[in-house]
Amino acid sequence: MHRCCFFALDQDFSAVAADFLEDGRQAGEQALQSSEPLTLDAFRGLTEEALADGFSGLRVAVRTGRAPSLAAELAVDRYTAEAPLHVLCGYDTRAVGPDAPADLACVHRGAEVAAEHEPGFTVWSTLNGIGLSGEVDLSNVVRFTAALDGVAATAGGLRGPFVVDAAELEFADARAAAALMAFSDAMGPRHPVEVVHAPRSLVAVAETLGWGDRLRLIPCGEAA
Amino acid sequence: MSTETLSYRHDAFFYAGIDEFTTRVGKFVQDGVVGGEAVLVVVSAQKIERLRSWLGPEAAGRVEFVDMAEAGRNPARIIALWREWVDQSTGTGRALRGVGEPVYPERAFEELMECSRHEALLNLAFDQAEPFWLLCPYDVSVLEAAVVEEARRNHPWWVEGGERGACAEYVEVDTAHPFAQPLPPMPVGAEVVSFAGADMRTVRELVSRHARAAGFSSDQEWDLVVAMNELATNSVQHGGGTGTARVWNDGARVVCEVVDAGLIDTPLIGRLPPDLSRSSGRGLWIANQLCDLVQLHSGPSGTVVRIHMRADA
Repeated sequence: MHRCCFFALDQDFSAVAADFLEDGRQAGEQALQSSEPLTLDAFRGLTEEALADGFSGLRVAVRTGRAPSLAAELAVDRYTAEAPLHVLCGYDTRAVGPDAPADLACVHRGAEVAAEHEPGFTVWSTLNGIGLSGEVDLSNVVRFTAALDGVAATAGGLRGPFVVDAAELEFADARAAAALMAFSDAMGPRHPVEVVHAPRSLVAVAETLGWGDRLRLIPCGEAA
Repeated sequence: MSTETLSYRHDAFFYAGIDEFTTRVGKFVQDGVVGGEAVLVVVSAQKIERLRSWLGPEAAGRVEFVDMAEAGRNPARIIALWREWVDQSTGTGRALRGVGEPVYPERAFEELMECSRHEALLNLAFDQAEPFWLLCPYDVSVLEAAVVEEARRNHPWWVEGGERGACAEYVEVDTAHPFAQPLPPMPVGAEVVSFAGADMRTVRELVSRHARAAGFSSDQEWDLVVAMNELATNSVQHGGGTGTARVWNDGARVVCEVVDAGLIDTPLIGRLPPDLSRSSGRGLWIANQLCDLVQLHSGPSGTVVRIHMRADA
C-alpha cells in the first residue's frame, strides 16, 4: 500500500498518521514515523529489518515539505508492490508548491485532493508493470507523459513483458495513445509493453492511426 | 473505353441500368486485365457479383474487388483506399485501372453532398503523371438529374455510350477556399455546450448521453465520443482555444458538430493518413475513420465540423 495525504495543519496529518500506523500495529507490522522522505534503499533496509525482527511487515508515515521526483515516488511504489511495506506520504501543502498535489496524487492510488488539484488519472505499480485509472486527454497528458517517464526510469529491474493494466482507465485520447507508444518505444525490446484491458477509446485511436504495430493492445473483454 | 492511359485520368461514366453497367464496366476491366494492368473495382456487392460472373473466374481472379457500401460508407475514406492501392501498385511498373461508384440512389442528401466533394478532391489526390485511369459510374436511370449534373462539374472527362469527351461544366477545386460551401442548417433543439482547455469531459459526457439514448452499442458510443473529443481538442489547439459543441438526434442518427474560430484550407485534410511525427491532421482523420459521415465548412467566420453516426442494425 502506498498512500498519500495533503495537510496544512500539523494536527491534521497527526490524526491521519495515527490511524494509519495503528492499523499496521493491529496487523503485526512495525510502525514508524519519518519527518523526511526516505530513499528506496532506506525503505528496503528497514523492511528487511522489520521482517528479521519478527514483524509481518513495515508501515511508515512520512511527513515532509519536500516533494520528491515522480521517479522516486514510483520506485517506492514498485517496492510496495513487491514487499510487505505500507507507506503514507504526508505532504505539507504550505511547503511543497502549488503543482505538487496534482503531480503527487497521480502516482498515489486513492489520493484525496481538492478538485482543482485532481490529476484525472492515477499510475501505480504492479508486480509485472503498472495499473492505470481515470481519464487522459489534452488537460493532463503532460503530467501523464511525465509519470510514464518516471515509470520507465524505475522499471529496469523487471523481467519479460511489461504489462500496463488499463482495466480502470476510462478514457484515453490520441495524445495519451502517443504517450503510451513513446513509453513502449522507451522500454525497448527487453520489456515489450502490453496494454491489457484496453478501453475502446484507446483501441479506436490506435487502430485508426495505424499504431497497432508499435503499441500492443489487448481490448477490454479479450484474454491477455 | 479501351484506350490505354499513360497519365492520371478521372472519368464520369454515365450508364442506364445494371445490364449496361455490367457490359461496359466489364469490358473496361477486361481490357485492363488483358493489358496486364492492376485493376481495383470498388462498387456494391451486387455489382461485384455481376462483374465476376461476366468476367469469368480467370479474369475475375486477377482483379481486386472492394464493397463500396462498407469501404465507402463515409465517402471521405475512399481517397485513402485509392492512394494506398496506387502506392502499392506503382512499384510493379504496371498501369493502373480503377472503378469507383460512390454515388448511388440509396445515399442520403448529406452523403451525396460529401460524395460530390470526394469526387472533386479526387482531382487533387493524384499526380497527373501517375498512370492511373479511374472510372466513376453514374446510373442515370435512377439518379436525380441534379446528381448527374454535379458529376459533370467534378469530373474533367465524361464517358457515355462508347463516346468520351471533356466535361464543359467541369470546375476545378478552389484550393484557397476548399470548404466554403455552407452546411445545411442544424435543427432547432440541439443541445449545446461551450468548451475551453480542460473542458473535454463536458463534451464527452454530452455525446455519451445522446449515443446511449439512440441505442448505440458501447463501441459505437465510444467511437463517437473519441471523434468529438479529437475535434474539440483541435479547436482548443488550432481553432482559437475555445469552441462550441452541439449534439442532436436525427431519427436513428446522432449528429454532433464542433464550431470554432479556426480556418481549415488544406483540401485533403483528414482524407490521407496523418504524419505520425506531427499531431496536426489527426482529428479529422480519426473522425473520418470512426463516423458514417463528416461534413466540413470553413471560412473567414470560422469552422464547423459535423459528424454523423447511425446505430448499427
